[in-house]
Amino acid sequence: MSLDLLACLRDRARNRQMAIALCLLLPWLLVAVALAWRVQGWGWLLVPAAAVVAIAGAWRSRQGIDKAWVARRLDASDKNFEDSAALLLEPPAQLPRLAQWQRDRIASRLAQRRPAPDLRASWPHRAIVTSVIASLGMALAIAWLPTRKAPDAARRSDASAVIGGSTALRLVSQVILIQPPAYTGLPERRERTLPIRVAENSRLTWRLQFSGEPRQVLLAFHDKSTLALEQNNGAWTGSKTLSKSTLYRVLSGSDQQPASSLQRIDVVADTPPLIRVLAPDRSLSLLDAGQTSWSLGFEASDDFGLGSAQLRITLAQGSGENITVSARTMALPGKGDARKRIYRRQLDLASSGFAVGDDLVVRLSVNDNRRPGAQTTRSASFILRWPPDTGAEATGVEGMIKRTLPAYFRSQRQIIIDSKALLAERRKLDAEKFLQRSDEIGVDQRLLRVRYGQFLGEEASHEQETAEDAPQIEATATGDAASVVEAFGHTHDEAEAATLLDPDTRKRLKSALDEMWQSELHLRQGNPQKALPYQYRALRLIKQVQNASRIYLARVGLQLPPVDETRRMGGDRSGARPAGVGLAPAERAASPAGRFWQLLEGGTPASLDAGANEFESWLRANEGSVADALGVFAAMDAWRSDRGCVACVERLRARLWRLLPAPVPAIEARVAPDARGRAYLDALQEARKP
Amino acid sequence: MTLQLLAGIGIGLAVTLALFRIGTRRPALLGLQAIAGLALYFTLFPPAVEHEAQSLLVATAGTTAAQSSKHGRGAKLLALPEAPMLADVERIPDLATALRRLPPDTRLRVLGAGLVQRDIDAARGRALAFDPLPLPHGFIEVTTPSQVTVGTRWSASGAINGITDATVEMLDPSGAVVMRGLTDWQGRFTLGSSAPTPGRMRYALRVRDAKGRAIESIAVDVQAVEGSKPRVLVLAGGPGPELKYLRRWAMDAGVQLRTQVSLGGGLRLVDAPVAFNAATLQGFDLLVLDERAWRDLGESRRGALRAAIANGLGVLLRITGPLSGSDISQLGDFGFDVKADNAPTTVTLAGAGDDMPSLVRQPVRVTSGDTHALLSDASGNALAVWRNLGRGRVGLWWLGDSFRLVLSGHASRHGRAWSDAFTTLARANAAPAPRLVSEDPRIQQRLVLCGLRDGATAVGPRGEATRLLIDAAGASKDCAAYWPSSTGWHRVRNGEATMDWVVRDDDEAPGVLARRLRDQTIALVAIDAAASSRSTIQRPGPRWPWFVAWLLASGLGWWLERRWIRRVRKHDSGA
Repeated sequence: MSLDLLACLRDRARNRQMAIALCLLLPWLLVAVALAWRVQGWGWLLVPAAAVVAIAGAWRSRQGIDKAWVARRLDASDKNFEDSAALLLEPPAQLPRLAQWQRDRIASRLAQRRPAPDLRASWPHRAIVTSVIASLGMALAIAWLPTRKAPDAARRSDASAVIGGSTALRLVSQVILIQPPAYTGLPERRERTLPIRVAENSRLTWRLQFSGEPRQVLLAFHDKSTLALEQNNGAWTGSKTLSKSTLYRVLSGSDQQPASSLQRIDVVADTPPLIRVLAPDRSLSLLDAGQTSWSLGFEASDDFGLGSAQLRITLAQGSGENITVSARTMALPGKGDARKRIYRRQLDLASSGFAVGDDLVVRLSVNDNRRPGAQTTRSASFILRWPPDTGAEATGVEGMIKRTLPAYFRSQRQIIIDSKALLAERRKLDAEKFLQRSDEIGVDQRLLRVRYGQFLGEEASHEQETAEDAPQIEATATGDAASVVEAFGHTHDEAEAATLLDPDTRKRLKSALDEMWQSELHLRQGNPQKALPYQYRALRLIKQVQNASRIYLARVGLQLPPVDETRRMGGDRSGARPAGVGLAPAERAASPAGRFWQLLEGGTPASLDAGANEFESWLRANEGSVADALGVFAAMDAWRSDRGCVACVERLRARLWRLLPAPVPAIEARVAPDARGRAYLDALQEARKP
Repeated sequence: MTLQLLAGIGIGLAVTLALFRIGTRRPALLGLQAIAGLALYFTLFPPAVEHEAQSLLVATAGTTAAQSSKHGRGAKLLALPEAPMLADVERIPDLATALRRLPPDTRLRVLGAGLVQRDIDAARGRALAFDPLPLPHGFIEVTTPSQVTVGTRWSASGAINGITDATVEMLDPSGAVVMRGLTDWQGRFTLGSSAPTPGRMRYALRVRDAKGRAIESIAVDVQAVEGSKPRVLVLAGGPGPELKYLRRWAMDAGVQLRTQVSLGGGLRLVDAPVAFNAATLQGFDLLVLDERAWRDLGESRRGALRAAIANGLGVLLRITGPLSGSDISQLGDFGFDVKADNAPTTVTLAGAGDDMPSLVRQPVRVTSGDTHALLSDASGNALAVWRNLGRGRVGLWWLGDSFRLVLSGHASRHGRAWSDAFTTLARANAAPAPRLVSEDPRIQQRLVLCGLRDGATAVGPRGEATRLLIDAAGASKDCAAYWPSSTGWHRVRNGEATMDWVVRDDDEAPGVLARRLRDQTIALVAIDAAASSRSTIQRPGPRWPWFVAWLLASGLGWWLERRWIRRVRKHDSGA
């Protein structure tokens, strides 16, 4: 019975001990939680580990209490136990008589003791309070301590890395759903890592998740446009159709804190179809004796798929100004898959009314399946000529020249005729067809304009041609302008290299070109009615130009006014005032890249800011003409966000370096000779005198 | 009479006396006396013997344990501060410290990379041998200008060691390869570029082996400065494309240009009227004129021109058409021996690629011996020459149509040709700029700057300025030494003139450093070739063998003599 009592006393003491240990240890779990929250990831393992340690510690302190301890405490607490409480632990049978007697005595005293002895340790209030406060303080300190900034090299190396930090708002995950346009046939895909390449006009849907509840989430694009995301099932989503490459960054919260670094999306443009001509092998073929048909062969290819193909057949009959032109268009079925097709056709010459002296001109145009706005590529025109009777030719030379003419284009008069015919047919055509035909006339108008423009030294804009009309021309290698000129070997922006016209003719031709511009504009917009007046005016002006006495071919040298023979060498100089010979220095300062590059090396912060702003606005204005402008923007952004980052400055300077204009070889200064040098030169001069 | 002779006579006398005393009855004693005398003499004056001079091994940077153990037997091995940790060596702060403790005829054997500048003077005049380490693979020599002019072509040349069929690339500061070339059979290369804008910029050279692997790359720091802006007067007998493109380039290059073009009949195209006399010519640095304008000058103005040239003006005479006899004789007065050639011929410029257009030169040949070529065609014939006349320079230019270069897209080649001509001919009036004499400046290594005046300061990369002390003992009295204590861009400021250069760290471009150390140490060895060929020297031999011989001879003599005396006494007493 006394043993039961002892066990009871022991258990109560044990429980108390354990409670105290838990009270002291458990608050430190908070510290572990704070640490884990700070570290994230594996850090959360700390919490269970700390809990296990705390419980194990408490358990150990509990196990330290046994019956012997109880006996000792009984002896210590009351002298009535006569230091003999330990006897209670022994089985009475094994004790000597005296000890048995004593044991009984103690047992009875223990049983009779009222109140029952309380051996539990008292609550260590102070210790507990101290422990709680200390652990709480430590946990708070860990949670609130500002993060030391990670070295920027590591941070910037991962473009899609999420900026960590003490803010509760963090971008936890981002998924971009890319839906390429249906016509491309590309599958939908999800991307988590950037940068990504998407097809032109793909629809991108962002799905961002944050740790925390941002008030508002924005995507800020590098062209200053923004896309506000909406909250949807705990994620922020938004979508946008991209037609050109861009950089963006996620901004979150009402204060629009950046939640991600600058991220890049490259848009891959749909290329227009490519046409390769298989037959005929020359642009001007002469009809062979006994030829009854003309075989044509074209091969077209496209990156996403080809649309319809039309063969336009033009029959030009007559000679001189008296030429009647009839054109028809026929759809041409092709063989092959959607990406590469071969079109073959045998033109029956007899059925098309082909006769002696006529020209049969064919041209293939192929659409791709781009939507909206299919891209059309036209092949060059191919001519089959039935040579006119030899008797009709004035000289053999003319025929020779005609045979080598490289390309045919419609005259202004023909354009007017076409436009009128189109207007007459207007009722019969649906709007789309009408627009298309009008556009075709517009292309002819354009070719004519470019052709005449060459007389004025204008450069036919190759870029446009590449994009719209002549995709089979490979885009020139990207590089600085000088190397392109070196590669192709002639310049047009030198006035002396252009055809020379007398000022009056030049003025007329220029006005004619202006009219053609306007005509083309309206034709392209499907408005031939409006284009007509311009076309007439252009025709009139061109006739005047043709009536002008002479067109001088390109020669270098100054354009001198005609010599007045009556005054020649007469010594009369009245009214002779040479034009100025002033030259303006080249505008090398046009691009602020050089200035900014220099400022980055050792500019003051204020001048650096001004330089950066000047450069950035220049870059924004010239985004199209700067190679990889997005890369420059990204480098700019990295530099702006961390001015102290040496690697960022170096990267930005490397980007700027590529934008620096080609230098003009300057003159080096020669050091003035010193006294000895002067004496030597003087002596040399003396010695040379005979 | 030397001490040696006196002692010899003394010893000789003593031996002779002893011989007389002994007499001829004891030949053994006689011999011993003579031997003892000789031994005594040689103990005092031991004969000179040939013996190896004491040699000292000096370990420098890169010394290997194999090297030190190969020569290490019996010789003392000291390690300079650059040397790696080697077993059983004494480390010394510099070579001079070690040499002070050793006899002056100590032979030095340098192991490892070679002696640094600090120890060169101490080692000078010593018997020296050098066991160079093989040079590392990669760049062992790179020569680049530290300062270049914007737009002009500068070149970096150097040598590669140990890589066959190496390709060297020059990278611009953005990391793009601007030029690439193969090394020749000696491993040498020359690459060039031009700086687009003023400022400090870091190019790089990279070497690739035959398989295209990048072996080494080293930085080439260049400071580009604005070109000079000479005042140039252009006179022309008529307008033309050549003149137009010349003016176009000159304008863009920053030339302060005045132009007068005659149109005939007394009409002139003038941007600002300039009177042609000595005073105005003094205000120009260069006069460019064609032969028609030259004819129009007349004798008196040509006299003024001649005086102005002698005073420093540069003149470039463009020959654009056939020359008359009087033109040729006038040019002869200016020192040009000009002969008319048959007809204009087609030429291509030297160093031009295949796509360069062919140009036309005027039918002129200049055969003076004292002219220098200003521009040459591909076969090395001059298209323009110059010679100096007094303090100025006169040039003749008979390339007719350099403007075709611009039209075919080679504007920079056109600019370079004219830039070279203007640079060469224009009046020399730039203030002397400081210049760096030492090559391959390194941290904590002495370097020498010249062209300085009192008050010149050197500014380190963190803006710390050091006043430079001009070396008054130097020959030119305008040089100063400087010890850079940090790497990077340094600038020396000498009044208005400045010069920037880059100090390399110890571990940058190791091949270049190794090559320099090796070369300067080998140069020392070459200077001291005579001294070091004398590997043995005469010195008094050791005394102790002679002393022992003397002791033995004397002892034996003494013992023989004692025995002899005892026998004589016994004989006497017995008798």
